[in-house]
Amino acid sequence: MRWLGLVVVLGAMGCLPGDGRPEPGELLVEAQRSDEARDGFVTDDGWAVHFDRFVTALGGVGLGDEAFDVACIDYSLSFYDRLYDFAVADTSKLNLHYGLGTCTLRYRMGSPSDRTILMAGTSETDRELLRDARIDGIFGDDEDEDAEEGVGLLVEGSASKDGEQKRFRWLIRQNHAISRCLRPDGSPFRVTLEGGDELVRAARVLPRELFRKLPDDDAPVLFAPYALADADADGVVTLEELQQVQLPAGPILEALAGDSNLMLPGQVLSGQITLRELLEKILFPRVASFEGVQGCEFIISGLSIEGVEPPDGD
Amino acid sequence: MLLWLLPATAWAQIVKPSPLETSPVPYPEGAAGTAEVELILVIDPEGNVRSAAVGSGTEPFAGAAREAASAWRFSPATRDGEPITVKIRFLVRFEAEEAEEVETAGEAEIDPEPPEPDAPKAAKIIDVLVEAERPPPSTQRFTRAEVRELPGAFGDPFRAIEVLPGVTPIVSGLPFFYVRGAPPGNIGYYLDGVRVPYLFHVAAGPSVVNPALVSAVDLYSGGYPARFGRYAGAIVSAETTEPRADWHGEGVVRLVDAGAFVEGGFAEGRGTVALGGRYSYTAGLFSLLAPEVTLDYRDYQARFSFDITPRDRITVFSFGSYDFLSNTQPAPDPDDDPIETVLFGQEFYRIDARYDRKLDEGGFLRAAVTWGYDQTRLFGARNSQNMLVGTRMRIRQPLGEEVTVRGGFDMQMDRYTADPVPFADPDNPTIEQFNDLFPPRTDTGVAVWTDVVWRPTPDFEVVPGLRIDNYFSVGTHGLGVDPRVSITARVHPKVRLLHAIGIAHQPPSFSVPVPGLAVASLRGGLQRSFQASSGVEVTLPLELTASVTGFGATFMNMTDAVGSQLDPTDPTLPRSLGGAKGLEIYIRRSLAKRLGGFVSYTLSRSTRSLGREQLLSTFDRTHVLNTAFGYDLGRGWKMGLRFSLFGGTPTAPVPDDAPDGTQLRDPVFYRIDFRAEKRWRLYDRAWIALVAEMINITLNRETLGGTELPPVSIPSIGVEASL
Repeated sequence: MRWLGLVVVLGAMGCLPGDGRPEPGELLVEAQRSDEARDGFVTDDGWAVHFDRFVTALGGVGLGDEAFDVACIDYSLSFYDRLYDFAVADTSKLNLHYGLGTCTLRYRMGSPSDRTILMAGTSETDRELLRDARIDGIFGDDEDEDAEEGVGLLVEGSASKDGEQKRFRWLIRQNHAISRCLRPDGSPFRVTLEGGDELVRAARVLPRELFRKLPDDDAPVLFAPYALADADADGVVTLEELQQVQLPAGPILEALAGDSNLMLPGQVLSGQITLRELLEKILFPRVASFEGVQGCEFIISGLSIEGVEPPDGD
Repeated sequence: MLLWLLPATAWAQIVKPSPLETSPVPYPEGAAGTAEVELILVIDPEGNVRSAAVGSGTEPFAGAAREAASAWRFSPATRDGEPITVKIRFLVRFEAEEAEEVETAGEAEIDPEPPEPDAPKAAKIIDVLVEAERPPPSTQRFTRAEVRELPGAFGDPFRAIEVLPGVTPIVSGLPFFYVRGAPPGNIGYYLDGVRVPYLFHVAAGPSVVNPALVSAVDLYSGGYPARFGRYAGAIVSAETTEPRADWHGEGVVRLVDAGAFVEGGFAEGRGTVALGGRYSYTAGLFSLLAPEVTLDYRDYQARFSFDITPRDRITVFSFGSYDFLSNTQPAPDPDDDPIETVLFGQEFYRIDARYDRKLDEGGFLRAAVTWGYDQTRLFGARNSQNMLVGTRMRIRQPLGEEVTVRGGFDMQMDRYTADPVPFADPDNPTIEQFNDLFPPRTDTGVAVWTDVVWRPTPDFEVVPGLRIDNYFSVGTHGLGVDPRVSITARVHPKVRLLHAIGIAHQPPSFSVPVPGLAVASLRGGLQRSFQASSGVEVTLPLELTASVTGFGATFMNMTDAVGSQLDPTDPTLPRSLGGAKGLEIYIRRSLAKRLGGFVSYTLSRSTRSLGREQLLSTFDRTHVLNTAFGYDLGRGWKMGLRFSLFGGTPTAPVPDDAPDGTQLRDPVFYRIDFRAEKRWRLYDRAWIALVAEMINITLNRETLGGTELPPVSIPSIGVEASL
């Protein structure tokens, strides 16, 4: 009995408080099934695109942005992601969050880590392949432009038109942190959480965005530039071949500048970028977004524009 | 530590205490005749009488002698020039009819010169009994008296550790350091043999124990005695003061906190009670500067001792510490209360009940039981806890003049638990990994140890020892067998050679200790270290001592993720191989002297190996220099300066085009600490002082990992008093 009393006394010594925060609201973010990835789609120039695999890690959903949100408190600090093959994936839970206030959402899309949860259609082999880089997508040094990043998207499929078929298998070595999304009316995309709320938001994947002519929702979706990039006419379009295709940078960057909060120095509105850069650095981040979002912010790194000197400080 | 010295032993240079300040012992009123009273006095390193007990004698003479003795002052006993605590037997003779022999009739007076043994009339020291348990090689000690004068230590013996050779700071001013390549998580902290999870309060705060209760702090850099275990790096062991029956106290009031200590006796000095503590009022200060931040820390100590017989003592010692840092932000709904988020929180409490017995021939036995509670605030608003129960026994028994046998055992059971994570995504792999790595469980550690102090000649001592630890956690167990040997040889009256070699094992740990949290299942096995040192110590003129020591250490199966530039959050606890080697130079003259100071220099290299890749430890610093001096200006004024210089730590990465073997380092950092004190003596030994002290008076900024940090500069102005 004396021992119990001593234990009680010792137990009462603890002064550190427990969790005294008020009850938060709950936000479930789902990864929506992508019909385009599962069933394919037809581009505006008549190419029927079909995907065998569309593998990317999606997640790291977070609440709030200090510069954007006046009053948002994220309780859960849960930053994990899942590896999906959207060519077979169905709608499923992405992340669960708890918080209070009016919060913007942010997320990441890119290569998996060793803690990424494997979803249906993916395997450890996929994880190893996508992590095959000197720098992991999570722990890497984003400022080292010359470093190899982990593979943020494995897309494999084919496109056909009038009996002509082109195959592609692209390992896009990019990772993107996406935030500060806007609604079509230009207002910030936010969720308002109050104690006891249970909200659901959907993250969707739109593979057609890889084939936009310009980073603009109104721009046509074209496969012809990719088909024409097949320089050796072997029926396989490679990233190296896309690297040889030069595009005028002006219209592309104007489309970016007119979309949300991107600010670009005036001197880069001329020159050229490659089709590969357009695909990997500008169009790839547009693939995933939340339902009801017009556009989001993301960082473009390592974009070299032919014929233009980079601004001082880059 | 109380020391008993065999009087005939000459191998250590012992200087007995001698009386300084005299005070008459009044001949008790109403008494008659001649009487002799034998007092047992404990003299501390400052020459004060810590305790006075009656060995023999009758009343009213005994009481009169004991009461008068409390105010006496002595020049302290020294061993190899270092002040030490001693217990002496002191004879006081009362001879009322021989009033002409003393200044005042009816009083016995202490002769300031120790009289000849056959002088029967005056009080005299019968014998100085000092126990010969000298610190082993590779041990450095700071006494409270010295630390009080050390600039930048704020009178805190634990903080003074950072100036010792072999100690490499992580960041200047912060109380976390590497010792001969061993990370903070491989360094054990002990107070009177009780393990404590950490030594300092949050935000570079003071130590968790009131300095008034600390007699000395020893740093065992390696090759430590067999009684210490469970840590593969180094040991910091503090000892509390010997209980005192005379009522006395200390207090300090500073800008951010206040501390007090009081102690006194009862039952005619057989019992003592001591209470101490510290309280920070930073919360109030922060509310003025940064209202959203709350910083709070406090600690307490309480000790009860009772001498059942002159040989038997029981002691109950309780101490604890609490730290808290939080940020409060407005609730999204303005009508709701603000929301407080705890950024950091940790606490620990201990109750140690011990029985001490003095054995024949200078032997000693201690048996103790310890209860404890640790708690840390983790991420996700959850707390992790550890409820512990331990027992230990230790015995020391001289077998003649040449051999002393020591041995003991200790056992500790740790019950770890963690609160469930509130508002968490159950699929979060981090939560799952945490639960896997730190499941609720009970871990047990059992150890037996023994060593022999063999002194075949007064100038030569060898101490072979062996310690065996067995660890149990979640169905796994690990066995650590730790042989250790130390050798001390006096080759000249002023020259000693010191050698130590040993193996130590430790369960997996974090780079920085986290109370209430420990890795389960001994995954990956025990960490192991092999440490060796060899040095020479020379006594120089002007009460200087100098030592030069070479050391080497190999750390196997280390879990020092930070030092190895690995991911500290990796649940697989990656292991590395570590090594350290170097040279330490230490020249000192006690800071308690009128002019005192030291030079402490360490030249070292600390490495890690991951597979075939070898790299420098994250906190490898080639050069570490600390030098300080203190001077008593007289009239109560004291001043001290300390200069510290640290070589830069390795930065990463090295450019691809750099030649092979290139290693970039952060720039060299130096800082200057200052201390000034004006003391007023009130009465007897009571005094009050105004102290101004500051770490890094030049506000220099240190660069770590290529990033320049804000200056870590800690000012302190306060009032200290001893009554």
